[in-house]
Amino acid sequence: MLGNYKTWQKVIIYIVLVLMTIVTLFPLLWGVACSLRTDQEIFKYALPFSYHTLVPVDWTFQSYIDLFARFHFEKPFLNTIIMIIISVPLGCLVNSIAAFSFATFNFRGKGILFGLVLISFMIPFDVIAMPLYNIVDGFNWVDTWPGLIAPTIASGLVLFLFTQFFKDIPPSLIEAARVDGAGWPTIFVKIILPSSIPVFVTAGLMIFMDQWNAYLWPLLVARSQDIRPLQIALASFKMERSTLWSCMYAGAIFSAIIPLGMFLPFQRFFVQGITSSGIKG
Amino acid sequence: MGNVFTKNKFLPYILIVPAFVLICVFKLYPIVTTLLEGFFVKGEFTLDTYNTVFQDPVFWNSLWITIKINIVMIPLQIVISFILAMMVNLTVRGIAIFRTIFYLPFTISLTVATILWNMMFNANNGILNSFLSVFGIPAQKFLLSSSQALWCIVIIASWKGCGYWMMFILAGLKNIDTSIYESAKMDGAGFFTTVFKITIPLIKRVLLFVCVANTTANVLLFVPMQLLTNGGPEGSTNVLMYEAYQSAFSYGNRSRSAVMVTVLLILIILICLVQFKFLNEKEEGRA
Amino acid sequence: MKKFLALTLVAALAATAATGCGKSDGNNASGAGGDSGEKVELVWLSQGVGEDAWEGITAPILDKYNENGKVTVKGEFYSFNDLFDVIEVKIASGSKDYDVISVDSPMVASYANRGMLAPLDEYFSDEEKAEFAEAGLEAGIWDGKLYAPPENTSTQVLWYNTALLEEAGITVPENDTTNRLTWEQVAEMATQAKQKLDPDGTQGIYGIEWQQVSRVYQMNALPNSMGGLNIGEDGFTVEGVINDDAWVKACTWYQDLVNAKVVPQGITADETGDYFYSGKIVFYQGGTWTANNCDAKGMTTYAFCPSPAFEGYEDKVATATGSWQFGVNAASTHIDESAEFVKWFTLGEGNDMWLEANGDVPSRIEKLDEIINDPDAPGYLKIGAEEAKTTAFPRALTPGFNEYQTILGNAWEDIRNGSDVKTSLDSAAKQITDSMAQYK
Repeated sequence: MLGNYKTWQKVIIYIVLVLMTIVTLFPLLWGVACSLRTDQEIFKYALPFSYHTLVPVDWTFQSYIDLFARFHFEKPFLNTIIMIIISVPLGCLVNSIAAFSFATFNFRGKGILFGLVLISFMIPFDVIAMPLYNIVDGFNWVDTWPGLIAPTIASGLVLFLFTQFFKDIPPSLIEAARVDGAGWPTIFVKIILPSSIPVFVTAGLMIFMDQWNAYLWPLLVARSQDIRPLQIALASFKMERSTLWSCMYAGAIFSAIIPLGMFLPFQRFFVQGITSSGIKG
Repeated sequence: MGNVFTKNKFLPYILIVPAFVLICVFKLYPIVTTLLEGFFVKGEFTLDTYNTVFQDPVFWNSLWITIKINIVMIPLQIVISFILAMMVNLTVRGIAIFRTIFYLPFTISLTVATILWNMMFNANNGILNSFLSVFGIPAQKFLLSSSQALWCIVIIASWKGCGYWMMFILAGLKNIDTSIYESAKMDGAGFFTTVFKITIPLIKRVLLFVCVANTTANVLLFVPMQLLTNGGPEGSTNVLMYEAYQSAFSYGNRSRSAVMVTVLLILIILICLVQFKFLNEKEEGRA
Repeated sequence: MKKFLALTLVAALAATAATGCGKSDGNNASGAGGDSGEKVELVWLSQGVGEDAWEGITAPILDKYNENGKVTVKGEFYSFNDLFDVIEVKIASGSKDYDVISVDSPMVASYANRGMLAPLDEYFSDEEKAEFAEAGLEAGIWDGKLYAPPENTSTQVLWYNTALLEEAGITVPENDTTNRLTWEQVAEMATQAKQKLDPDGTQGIYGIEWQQVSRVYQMNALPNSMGGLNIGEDGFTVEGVINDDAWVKACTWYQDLVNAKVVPQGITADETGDYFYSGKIVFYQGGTWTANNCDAKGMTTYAFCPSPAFEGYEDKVATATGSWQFGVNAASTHIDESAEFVKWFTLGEGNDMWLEANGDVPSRIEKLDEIINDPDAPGYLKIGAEEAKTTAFPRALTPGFNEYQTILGNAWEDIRNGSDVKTSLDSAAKQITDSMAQYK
């Protein structure tokens, strides 16, 4: 799969990549360093910038141990995983089916309906939180899994993403399949799905990250610790009169590792997208 | 394309029903309720809130700052994301690692990211000033300066966001058949010709998505301001969304917040209409 | 094909059905919540998640209350910052899920003004009200009615790093509340220490820092100590108040220290403490709880003294005050029971247990005197108790306190960042005046 580049081209490519990597990683390395030292040490060496700003004097994994031994991070972590396991497949399914309809068919009111879909993500969630809470409260869904998850399933943004990609599927393919007598479920599973793996992976990651970072909504709906997710637990390190800095950094690093662990293996589906679908172009 | 595929004219509607009902109940209904709050005070219809807000210099200042930051931030992020995506689309050894690295900032919590950047930007002893002093440039005030703070926030937001938008563009790039590039090369097309005449037209649907999503995210951005500057110094980072958030969550003034959000919505729609016009597939034939 | 159709149809039906059912459920719920005289469980909305925070500290206190078995209280805890958002969405939307609410002192007027809190006058006799120290009680009153009695209060003392002072060869003069240090003295010592310890600014050591820098809660004590007021008597006027001579003088004094790099820039209120605990700050104006934080973060070389006075204003000393109050959700279906619990936790056995466990400055006169007369009480708490009775300066009592604290807090930050003092205060006064219009 490697391309053919001349040596000087490769050198330039790597120089640019490494430079961008430094810019990207630098603040994060600092964060990692902060998570591996005591609070006192973080501030002792924070300013002015020196060697010990990035390299701890006394290395300690205590904050990572504290995450689980003292703050029981496993519970909110598991809750977030449950949220994701339910909402990623459901979100992909519901939104992709609707997107398929928007991308494939012409029907009366399509423009207006699609406009409404677009508007649905152009309003900040913070502002609509109160009426939304009232609705969910009306369902008696406060402090329940449905209350936590249901409002996040349908997403105008995910739907829009699917639509944009589905429009690229040549109509002739679907036409041909229809002529062959294929039903819509078959067409969706046999034609749309395989040629859209990159977008499904992208949309899946998008929903994944939305849920992973979900904050205000779980804060309002999840009243009991039993269903509060990860980000809420992360916020508890910042207290009224003091902050547990190293734990906060450790929590942030830990909560970044999981999405990365997802991203790394799923990347190959981007690459596979073209090779497996030979229907493009 | 017409409805050549099906005789069932209800099918398109049936397919969108699950998503659309959920959107109506959990998104559109709360949105309408919220926007209406701008027109009501104590249950009575009135335009007073609009009047007050439009006479408030704070509102106009915030609107101007919102426009100012976005004129720079939206194009900047899209261009960087596009370049990043082109880079990580190259097939050199270890590229998957780089892809992951560029995606990394998006996975770190915004709270922690802003604290780290705040330390880097520190006016007295921060790393960036140490770095500048190597080149003989005097220490800058960064987030403490009313002329620089806004641009510092652009840097933080772009650092965090570009890897995310890169991912979408990359998915689009991966959808392009490589043989198109081969034939372009044979025709003797240069790098920039290939990018503008082939790559961009082929991924303009994804680009449109990225533009619209990026615009929405950036116009509604306020968390870095909330955590770092509180809208200061001297109101220089007080974007409209932050003022709207403050109105609803600190001042308990939901109708003021609703008016501002309405203005923001109109602003987003206007920007997106322009983007639709430029990137709409109907305008051009397919490559 | 059929399966597919069926699936989507079911999903659609379920969604619409849910919408319909939901509405009726909501009505039922609101109808069913009356007083039954049976067992009642109250929910207390509060802050401080975790075993080391309020959640853990109050657990035995709630257990004690719940022993009676008839009315029980369950705590629901959020992190400090989150509590305000939760109240703003849930209580403001009229949710009946909560009965008792922990209210940050400055928020009382705002919540009360919007009808979110139930007035508690009928549950507290005048004698009982008189048990509270004045500042704490006043903080719970809006429009002449008692909405939120105090749980405890807070006061400030001046902390300092003895190791740094020793290294710089500086001795803090003898002082007490009758013979205070002056801010001018402190500034002088801080400047000397800075010159000695970090002359070229490469160590990141600073002379003075305020724990809640750029927040009105603490910073306003500076102009207050020169005779400046926080707000006019009507609760709205700030023009000519927060930009008068006392304010300009105090703010200029502060800004000069920043310009001399004796006071740091760019550090947020969340971070100041940790700079003090890690030996980067010589003098640190902070709450009585700073001692506990020092112990927890491994800082051992600290000492304390009463808040300084400005030279020539020795009789005007003002210290920040206010902490947490207890409010009752106006939409609660158990207001009587809730008020009973609030009383128990602010005046009764619950408050005794709370003060014992939390170690804050009490808001009850009786308990303040107890500390002042107790030879074994920690020195900073004795100072705190004395300040609470004498120098505690009432905050701005106004329904627009949030606008007030946001705008004025930004002005404090702008002044720290070098903006012209008079201009910043003038523009803050104008902005606050504008935003107060809606409350008149």
